[in-house]
Amino acid sequence: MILGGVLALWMLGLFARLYQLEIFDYGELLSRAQRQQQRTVEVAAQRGTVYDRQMRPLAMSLAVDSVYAVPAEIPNREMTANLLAAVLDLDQGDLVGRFKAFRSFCWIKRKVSSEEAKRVRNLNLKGIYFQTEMKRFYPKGALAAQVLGYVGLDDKGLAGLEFGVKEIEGKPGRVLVAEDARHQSYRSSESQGRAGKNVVLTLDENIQYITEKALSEAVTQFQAAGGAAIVQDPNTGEILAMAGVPGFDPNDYAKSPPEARENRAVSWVYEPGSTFKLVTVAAALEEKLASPSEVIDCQMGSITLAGHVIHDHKPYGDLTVADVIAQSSDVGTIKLGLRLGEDRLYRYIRSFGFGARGGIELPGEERGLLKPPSAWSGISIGEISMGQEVGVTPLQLVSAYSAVANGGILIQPRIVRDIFQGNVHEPPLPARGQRVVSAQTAATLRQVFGGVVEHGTGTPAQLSGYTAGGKTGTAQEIDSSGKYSKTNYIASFLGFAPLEKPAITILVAIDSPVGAHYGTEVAAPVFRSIAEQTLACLNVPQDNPSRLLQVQLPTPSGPLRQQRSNPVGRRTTQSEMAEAATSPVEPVSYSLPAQEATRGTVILNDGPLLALPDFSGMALRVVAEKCQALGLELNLSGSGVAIQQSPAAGTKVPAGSKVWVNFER
Amino acid sequence: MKARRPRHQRVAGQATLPLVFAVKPVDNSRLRREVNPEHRRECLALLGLGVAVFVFVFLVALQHFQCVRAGYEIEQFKSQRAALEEWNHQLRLEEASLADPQRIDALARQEGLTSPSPQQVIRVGPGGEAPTGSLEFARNIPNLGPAPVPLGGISGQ
Repeated sequence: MILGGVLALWMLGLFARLYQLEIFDYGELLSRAQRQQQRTVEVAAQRGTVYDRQMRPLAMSLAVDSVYAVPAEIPNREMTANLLAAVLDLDQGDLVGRFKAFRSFCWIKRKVSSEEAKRVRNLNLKGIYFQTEMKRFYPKGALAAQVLGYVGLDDKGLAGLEFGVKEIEGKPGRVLVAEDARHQSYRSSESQGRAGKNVVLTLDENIQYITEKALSEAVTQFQAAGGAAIVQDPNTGEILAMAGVPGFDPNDYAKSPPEARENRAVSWVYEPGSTFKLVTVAAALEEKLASPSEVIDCQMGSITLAGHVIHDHKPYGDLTVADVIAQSSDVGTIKLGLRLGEDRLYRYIRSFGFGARGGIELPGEERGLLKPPSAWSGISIGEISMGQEVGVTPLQLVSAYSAVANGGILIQPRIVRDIFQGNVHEPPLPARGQRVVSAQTAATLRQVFGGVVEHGTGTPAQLSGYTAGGKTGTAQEIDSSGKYSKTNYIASFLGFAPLEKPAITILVAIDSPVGAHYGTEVAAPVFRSIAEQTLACLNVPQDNPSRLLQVQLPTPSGPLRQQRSNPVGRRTTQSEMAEAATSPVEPVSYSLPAQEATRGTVILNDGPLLALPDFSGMALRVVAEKCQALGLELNLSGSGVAIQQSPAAGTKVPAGSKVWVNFER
Repeated sequence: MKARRPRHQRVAGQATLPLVFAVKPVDNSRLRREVNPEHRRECLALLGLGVAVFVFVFLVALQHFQCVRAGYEIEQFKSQRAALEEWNHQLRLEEASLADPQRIDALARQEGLTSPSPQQVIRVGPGGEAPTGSLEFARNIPNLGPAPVPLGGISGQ
């Protein structure tokens, strides 16, 4: 009886407890269990990849580890700090301080390298954990750094396109992971974040490198403070290269001074000097106030305007309008400006895009400095006609020259060619354009500027195999006292090539060169170097093969010579290579087109063309095998079967071409 | 109090009686157990239900454990896929770094190569439009020894 009573009570208690756990405390216990078994993992937002116009990656994101600590779980803080400091190159005292200051969470080091992460993992320290974060990498280092910009530690764009193009940014997601007692996940559910969109730029990696290298060499040679260069396709407004010196490595931007990170091509406002004469002569020709053959009295190099005497760099007498530009006569240009009058000159300056932003997709673009005619002084019309009292950016100038190169239409400069994600492409709207001079005036101007290179101040810009037109510029900088400096100049050259059907427009501006300071000496050779290589890169047919040019060829002095003279084919040793690399190159001068030039001729055989097969409906493996068999480079996205390809099926391409194929399930 | 005599101990003065065991035949073969079909059906139904419940529970449990196992496998594959994707990204990054024009230029110069001038470059492929003069140069090539290898920046794409 008693036993029965005890048993009944025990059962009652058991059921009561069961009832309490299952009914009353159900919600709380469930949430506690979930907290114990489930884990929410933040999935970092992935920024889109930035490509050049040939789909070569310039910026991309990778998942990396960040190390953090839960100080409350660390048994021996000093020892842990000591070990971590040694492995991660941190200050031990600082780590101990952080462990004391925070109890539940503190960062140890964010975005560590894979080697560092491996070393920390091997330490197997208690209370030390890893969090996956995205890190931005710039595989080409300093190439186009000022255009690309950089991102901060939180993966937010801080400058350049990384800041200016918001579509690159992604949205972070979350993954809910169910784990067992051994912390092995057996279920997960994702709340999808949004990956950033990929951006294709108009830049060409090779042309960018050519431009940066030529500019950098000139800045070093003339010990200049810096420089900027732009290569633009005048027919589309697309920027093929945009360089600035000094540069920086966006992978480690904190080590560079702020001025090195500034994109001079869009934010540098300077007085353009003689390169601005384009506007004056274009307006005069368009308004039929002058013709290229008309003779202007340059008054032996001096003119008085509002009580101020303005001198030419050389005393010229009578010059044709074409020669005024070719010889860069300030007096002749001022006379053309006076014919135009203030309002008309101002109208042309505005219509050529000065005093307003061009609308390129880059942040920090300046509008320049341009006063309305009501604020002009008596001397202003003369000063502005020859490129003083006006502030312009390199981008504005190159766009104005492109307008002349393309037949008279000012086209909005562009640097973003496409924005896409998967198969969805969102190319930017077609560039805006407005006619600034007639096609006939533009053609006349091209001839006038061709004369500058042919027999004027721009002869060092003559190209090998191509005709070219352009204008030199040498502008005095304003010093700290607000007056024109006697020592600091901006040497520039703006030009296009080939002359009849220009494929490129190039601006070169060097800030404060030492020794030589004229655009002719400093900037024109840089233009030549960039233009010759870029035209070859773009496979532009030569239009002036008869030009006799001095070609500097090094005598064969490196390992190649040794290999040629060694028929056995012995491999060059490292010491030989080092010797070859350090041995001076002896230049040899000779003339073209004497047939000796073929000593260094390079034959580029593009090989036979093959028609692209239709990949649609094929499995990834089949497409990969076909591409391999045809010698094509496959760039794929997605998985499943092929639904889209570029170039289209049937297109004839040389072997080794890249093919983009999108797959979908 | 008197102690009790054990049963097997003989009592003094009493004669021992022989015990006779006789078999009494009982024939109950005619007896037949009455079968209750109702009860039997109930038993079978209960048994069937029990088996069904067991099979159901077994299948549910089996499915559950298969789900859990599949969950582990899926998670493993997911992490494998993530790792492979990451590896793919790393390889792409490495490829891009190796294709850095500055690096290629430095390597080429280390090998003694130089940039050819435009006059020295002749395109003979279908995409190229070699100038007339260049064809003349090309005809003389065999007599001129090996031509230098073009640099990446010059050869174009």
